[in-house]
Amino acid sequence: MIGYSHDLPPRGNYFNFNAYVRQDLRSGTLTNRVGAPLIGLTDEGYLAVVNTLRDEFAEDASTILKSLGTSWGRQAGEQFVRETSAYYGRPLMELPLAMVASLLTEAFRHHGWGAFIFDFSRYANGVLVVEVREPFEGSITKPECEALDTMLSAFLAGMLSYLAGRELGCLQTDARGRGADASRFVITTPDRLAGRQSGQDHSVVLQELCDHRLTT
Amino acid sequence: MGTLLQRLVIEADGRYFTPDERRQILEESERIRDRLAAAEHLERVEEPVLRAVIEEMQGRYPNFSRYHDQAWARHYRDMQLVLRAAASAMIVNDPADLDDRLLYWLRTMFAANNYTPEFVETCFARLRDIIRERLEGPSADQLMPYLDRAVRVLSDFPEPATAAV
Repeated sequence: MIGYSHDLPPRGNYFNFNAYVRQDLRSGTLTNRVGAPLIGLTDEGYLAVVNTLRDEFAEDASTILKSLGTSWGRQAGEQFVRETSAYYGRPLMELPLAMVASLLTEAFRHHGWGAFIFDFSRYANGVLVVEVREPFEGSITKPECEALDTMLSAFLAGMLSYLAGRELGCLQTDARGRGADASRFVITTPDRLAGRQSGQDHSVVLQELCDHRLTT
Repeated sequence: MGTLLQRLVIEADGRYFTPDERRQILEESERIRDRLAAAEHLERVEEPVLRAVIEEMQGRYPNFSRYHDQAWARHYRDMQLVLRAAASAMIVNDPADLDDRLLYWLRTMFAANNYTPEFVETCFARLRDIIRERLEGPSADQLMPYLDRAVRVLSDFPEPATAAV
């Protein structure tokens, strides 16, 4: 018998722009559909943060940026879980994985981070891959600088650690700012990323992580 | 009449509407009546149409339910969402609204579920065709651009490494 799917309400994309972003011109504020404040971060604003950190803290700037990204990502993860769980009427972690992937994609797209693809196909190996076309960060920093999506990488680690309920690390393997067609990130437990450097060949990193998992 | 009215208001910045613009608004208000009627008609036939599509797809893809929890019930829900979003987009005469409201989000889910583009295209083309059969001419004509768009956008994703249909 074909029946209605009682476990999932007939609700579409929570992040649908027309419904998600609200502008109050009297107060001059932007909020999302449940009233959480939003603010547009311009290229100049972001570059000012990065350049100031570099000027003031030299080699420690990258560490501070990562800490900022991780903290921001955790808070974004909490908000993501809270709002989507309320909208779809059940805890996020009880939604189908494909739906979670799609909601994450839409969340990043509608907040201006770029076009994301979350690949959970290596979930059994404890590895998640994220591909980002048009990442804002690596696209605006100068090539002679780090040209990596440092804050995004940390943001992903923080957000996905919150969603997974355990500490995760994030390694950037490809960077749009270094000429790759997309930025790519490999996310797994920090111990499995220890000793690896950003920019290592994406497919080799994946293969090694998956092989290692299967033999241990 | 969201998009037309919005466009005319923006274009009429600092002046009153011209006679031609006023005529366009009145004509659009008549078309809204037709589109609301089409949406009501769709609402009446929704359930039998969805059941007919599911039954056909079950015959074509007998293994689909082995790959996914509550596979057909969830697919029924997905098609239901498409019809309802198509009706809303049709009423405001804004095809692009359908993409952001639903299609991109749903397409990502289909790809993540390892559906194939062929499965999705077959399903939503049959949904469109059965709607065309069940609705009277004008109502079907109003909806077709939106259902055509759903077929095209939803099936536009790469073949999965391992198909699950």
